[in-house]
Amino acid sequence: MGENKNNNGNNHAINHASAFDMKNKHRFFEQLVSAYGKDLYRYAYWLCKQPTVAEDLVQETFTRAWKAIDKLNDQKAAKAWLITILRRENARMYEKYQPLLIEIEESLASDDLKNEPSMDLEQQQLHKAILDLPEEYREPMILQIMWGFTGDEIAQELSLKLATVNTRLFRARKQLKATYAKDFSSESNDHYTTKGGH
Amino acid sequence: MNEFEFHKRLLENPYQLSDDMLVFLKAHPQHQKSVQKARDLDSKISNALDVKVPEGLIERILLNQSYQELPQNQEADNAHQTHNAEKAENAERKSAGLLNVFGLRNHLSQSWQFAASGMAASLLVAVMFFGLWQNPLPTEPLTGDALVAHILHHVEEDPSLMLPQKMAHSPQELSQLFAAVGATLEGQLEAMSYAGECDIEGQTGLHVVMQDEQGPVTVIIMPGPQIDAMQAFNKSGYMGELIPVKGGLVAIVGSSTQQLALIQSRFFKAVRFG
Repeated sequence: MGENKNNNGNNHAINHASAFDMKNKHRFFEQLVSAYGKDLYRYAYWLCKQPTVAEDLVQETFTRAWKAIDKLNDQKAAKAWLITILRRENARMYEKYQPLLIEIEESLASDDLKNEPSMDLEQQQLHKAILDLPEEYREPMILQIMWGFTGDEIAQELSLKLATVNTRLFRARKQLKATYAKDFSSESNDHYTTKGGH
Repeated sequence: MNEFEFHKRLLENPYQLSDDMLVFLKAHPQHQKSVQKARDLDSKISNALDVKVPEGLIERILLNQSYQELPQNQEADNAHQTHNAEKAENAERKSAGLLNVFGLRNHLSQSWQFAASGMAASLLVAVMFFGLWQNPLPTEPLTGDALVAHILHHVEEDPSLMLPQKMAHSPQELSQLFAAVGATLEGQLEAMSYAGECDIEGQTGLHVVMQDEQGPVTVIIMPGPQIDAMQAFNKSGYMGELIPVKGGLVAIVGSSTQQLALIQSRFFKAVRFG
């Protein structure tokens, strides 16, 4: 995928350690953190919408990853493995702190935009639009765009059917397009309006 | 394929044009604009998803991992998992807050540049170890400011210590040097080029220099007071941290947070306390 940030460069940077002696284990862990730490934070942010919670999620993810690192066999599995751990931690945290997180969510999200003077109005608009997406639409889109997951990989990660994943990807982009891309093809806009979308 | 299906598939993935989509495009070239616009939007989405990452995050993750591996934390974790998970969380929160100083720009002071002159890389890390072994507790705690000041002074006294050189000590002699300050050297301390006694504020310590690809690393092991929790400091262009260990504490001083995290990790792999 052309715009995928998490390209194969990250994967090539990680050397497969066939024998997990302690030295290799540490080095491999450092490589995982260096390769995926920042994107995991970004992913966590878009899941929980709060920077401090996102960092806690990432810290906990890597804590658990370190404890279970002997179970990881290959570099390709590392990305999905870490994402799975993070999603579980997010779910766990959400179950435990749901009322508090909901209360904080909106105010902090808007504060984030205000505290980013480098973000122009266009970016702020899109940032908010992404935040406003239902999580079931936002998450597949992030897995595709940020992590470069294929439809099948997203389906596996989220335990969904491929058709469902594709539908949600379509709806996510459609919603963002309607909110942000005013100059998108008017012909296709009319088509979606009259046909009622999918 | 009709136009509706084409646009639907386009919005599922603007970068994956199937054979039937390509056939449709060839028959309706005017829709190439739709492809470009969809990709432009994806580019903007990708940029929007690329939110700013807190500075020092990677270093804090590595720091947390190495802190979890400290002997007293491992023993306590085995014995009382729940209780020490809470302790670890508290320490992590404290360290995360304190380590916000890593967000400051780092630069080398003039005198430090003088000390590191002649080196290909200018990164300098000093690791100091404080222990309660041979000497009584000082009447006042040794602060980060005093430590950094001492390191600078110490290196300036003899910049040649920073140069790559063959170790003058045998493995047995090295073990004795470490044992004299209450530490156990387990195996080889990677790329160590110098080790010798040093005097800090009247306390006898051990001065070690390690060479790595980013530049020379200074390790100073010295007696001093214990601290309850990890502390960070930023002084004269240096960033550092004081880490409690069994029987003393370890201080790491450097010019980059990445260096701090990596050196701490490698140091604790080879050196044990208590």
